[in-house]
Amino acid sequence: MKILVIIPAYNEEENIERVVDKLQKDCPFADYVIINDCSKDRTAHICEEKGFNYISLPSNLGIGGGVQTGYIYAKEHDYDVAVQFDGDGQHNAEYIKDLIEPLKNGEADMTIGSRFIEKEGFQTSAMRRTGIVVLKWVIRVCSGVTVTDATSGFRAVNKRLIHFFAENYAQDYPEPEAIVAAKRSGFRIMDVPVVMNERSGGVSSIGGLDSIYYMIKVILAIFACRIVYKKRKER
Amino acid sequence: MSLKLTITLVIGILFFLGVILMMIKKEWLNLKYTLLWLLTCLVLLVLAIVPQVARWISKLMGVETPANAVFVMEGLFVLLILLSLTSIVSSQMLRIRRLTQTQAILEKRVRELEHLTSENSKTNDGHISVQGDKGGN
Repeated sequence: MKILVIIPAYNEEENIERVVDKLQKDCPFADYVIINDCSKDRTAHICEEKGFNYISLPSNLGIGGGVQTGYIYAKEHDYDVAVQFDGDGQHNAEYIKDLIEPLKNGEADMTIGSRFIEKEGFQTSAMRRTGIVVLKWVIRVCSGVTVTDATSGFRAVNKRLIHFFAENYAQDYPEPEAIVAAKRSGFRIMDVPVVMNERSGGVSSIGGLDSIYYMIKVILAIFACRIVYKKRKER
Repeated sequence: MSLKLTITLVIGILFFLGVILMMIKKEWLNLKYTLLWLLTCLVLLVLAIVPQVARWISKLMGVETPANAVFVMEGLFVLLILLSLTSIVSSQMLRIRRLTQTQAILEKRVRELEHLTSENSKTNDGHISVQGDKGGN
């Protein structure tokens, strides 16, 4: 089974080397590709120096465009499973095995690593947790699936979804939107408990200040997903 | 503002909203750029249905009648949308320029690589064979 770990990275010069080294140690059975989203720091330089497998985008596309590039790469190289893995060190490679298991035995098409099932490890701020609960309800209303950690970028998909995401991947708020798009198009989604770490270096791409404005836009985007994707029976 | 105008406006705005939603469904419109249009429809709908708001705005701006105030607001929002479109076009121009430049530099690298491989794989009778591209990592 060919597994690809997609590592989107924007200005992760402080973390990328450590993340890749640990990934290769914990997950020797998987290939990886770093998607350097036109970083302004030494991320590309470090990748080149250390001989990492990476793609450098000529202009910044954001997390949606970056991750979709990974899916296109996975499709072109005929991978069976693709895992999204953050380049900032928040995700633990030891859980990749758990994420892939339901895909292997055909229980689901997409698995999402959730911090909030076992409630272990870094649980993020109260404000963000509230937002995530709100998202859980909105996603349930729009697609019928209950996801405990819709903003989690730690997820794995099988080959059919690799092909689907290579063609259609939400650009504005990809984490929740992709869930609704996939569920409406007939794919099965499952939560898997994981433990995440606090961000150790660099700056997160979602700031805390205009959270409410962000929530309104995410909710609108999720409803738009509902309009765009026709409901299909499970494949 | 006459009842006739209110009804005309409401029907018109709802129809326009329907067109926008259909275009979103067909993916002819990207939601991110459509937000302003949706806000415009919402504001104009409120203005049409709640006459006190239109009256208040007409007094505030020094516009003769509430009906005129609705049209002024519509014009204002159209200006805002046009401004945002200009900004979007400007940022796209920057991206396209960057894409063109990177692609040109990439072309140079590929061309030099082609020269290298064609030199290295000339067989004895001068026939040129170029090595195929190996995918994966």
